[in-house]
Amino acid sequence: MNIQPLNYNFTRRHRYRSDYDHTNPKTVERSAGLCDKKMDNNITFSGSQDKSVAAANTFMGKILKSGAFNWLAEFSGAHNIASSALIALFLAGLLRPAATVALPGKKDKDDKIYAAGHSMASGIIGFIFSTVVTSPLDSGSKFFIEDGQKMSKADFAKLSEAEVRKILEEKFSMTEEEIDKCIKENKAEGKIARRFDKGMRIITSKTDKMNALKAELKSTTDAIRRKALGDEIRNLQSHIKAIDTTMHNVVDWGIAVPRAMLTIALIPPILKYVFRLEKKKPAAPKPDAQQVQQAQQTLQTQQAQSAPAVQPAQQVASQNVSENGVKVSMKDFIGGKQ
Amino acid sequence: MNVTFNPYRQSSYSSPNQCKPKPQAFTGKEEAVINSISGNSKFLNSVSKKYDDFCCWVGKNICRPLFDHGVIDSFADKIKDKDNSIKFFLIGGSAITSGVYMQRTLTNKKMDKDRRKTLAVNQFLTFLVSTAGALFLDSKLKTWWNNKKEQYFDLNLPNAEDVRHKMAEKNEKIKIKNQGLADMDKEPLYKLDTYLEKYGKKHFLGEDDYKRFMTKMHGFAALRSIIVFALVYRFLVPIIVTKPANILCEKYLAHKKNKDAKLQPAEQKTVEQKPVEQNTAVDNKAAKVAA
Repeated sequence: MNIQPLNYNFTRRHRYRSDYDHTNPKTVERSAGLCDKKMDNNITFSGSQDKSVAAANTFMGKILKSGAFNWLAEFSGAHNIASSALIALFLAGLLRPAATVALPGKKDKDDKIYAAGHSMASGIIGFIFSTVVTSPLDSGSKFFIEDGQKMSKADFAKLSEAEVRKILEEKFSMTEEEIDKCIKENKAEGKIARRFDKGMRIITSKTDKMNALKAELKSTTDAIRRKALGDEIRNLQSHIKAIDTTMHNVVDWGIAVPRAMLTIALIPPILKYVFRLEKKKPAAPKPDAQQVQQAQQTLQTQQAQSAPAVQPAQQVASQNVSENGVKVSMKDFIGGKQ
Repeated sequence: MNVTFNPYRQSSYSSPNQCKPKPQAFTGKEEAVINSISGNSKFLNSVSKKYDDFCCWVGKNICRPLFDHGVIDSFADKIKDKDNSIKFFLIGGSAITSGVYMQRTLTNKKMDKDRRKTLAVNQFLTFLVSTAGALFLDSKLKTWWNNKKEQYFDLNLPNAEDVRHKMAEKNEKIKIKNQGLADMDKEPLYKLDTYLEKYGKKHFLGEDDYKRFMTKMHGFAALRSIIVFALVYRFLVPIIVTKPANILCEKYLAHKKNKDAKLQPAEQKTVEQKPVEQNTAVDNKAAKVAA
């Protein structure tokens, strides 16, 4: 049995030759070998170097590799709340209205259209409000969190020039010329050390502690102590990461109340002026013929007994039926139970 | 990501012999393309600088005093080992929003008292059901999503094979070290995330590339909870649960109304009987006086 690697060749040349000219002996060496007649004992192997190519050709692979998904992943990583609002905008602004209108039931068609408009408006308001309010807060807290995780100015003063050069080369991947220029212009401190030494106090203190532990780890040879130090450093790292996540996302709690109030307040005008939708008041139900007949009969009998008392009651009853649309029995008015 | 501009156009009907590779006009990083377009714009640069200054001001004057607090520290300590901690914030945000809607419903004077209470309970139960559903779905998708994360890593990092190879080497060394040690003392093996966080930088061209890729990886992990919670809160529950909940609410209100209507005539009867008795008593007195 022969196991052959599947040689993908995405150039046009390969495609044309396999399509039109695969019988030409010149093309055999360039083809993937899939068009050979002796395929009985052959297994086409697409592992190793071509594994990613095979995975990329699936539907999910194409999505994961697409630029749009990459952008979404990066956006979600940098701005959790705004990306959540963006997905909510897609769902509440597009999918939900479509599903609401598509649901069966002809009776409440107006209600469905109103609900769809309501959903779209809430999605749009939520997205705009979340993005506008949280983006500067997000960037501001990110700036301070990153600054807090840098070295303190006191620690930077202890570094030798060789160490500074090493950090600039390794961490900032700067060239020799750039490093020379940076040191000459005294910009190295701005890059390596904190801009605000009294920045985020929680992160600053934890970073200093972690740096001290790392320095201890370098000088320790005892395996048990090294293990304990490693655990403590990992613990501090995950704690700093959790603080970072908390600071970015807790903003959402802060804006939840005004956002909800704003959504409630702004939905009716948006529906009215943007979507041209307005909640119709329920139409006044026409009084039943039987009910009217019954009322007329009782009126006639009452007229016979006391003529002046009937007149105002009849007026009130007729007003109530027509204006409010509430089914009110004439008997009740005549009987004086209003 | 590399961007390639090739201005040469080849006819799809040309013969294979004529399809010789043409020289590319430009190949480079997408940042280079963006910088070449926007980098020289004075207006964009000044706007970007002003926005950065504003963000720095916000960070210094709002974020720092607001978030640099012991409460944040203790909360972070509780969620640091949890899987995808972002879901706690999504639940918290939804709880606050639902609470505001419930409070507005309870204080709405346009509705009658029974309807207000029933609607508020309805909103609360809907929140509970949707939260439980979202948590359930999120936990069920965990394994599948983690597999997709590995696939995402393989597809989007050109030297993914190299990274995996290096990680396997490190893990082999740790396994040898761990031999004969008790479980408590064993050093944990590297997973993709932990390896990338510790040694990832050397596999990338620079700090920026590494940071950007790590942001994407964190974003991919967060997307699971973001999509699931948004799907449940903003789509599934409003479509599936709201209608039955409203029907139940209406049925309950109708049932209560009927019950009240049955009780009312009985009360009215007792009210009507009293004046009659009083009248008869007055009549008796008048009759006695007349006599």
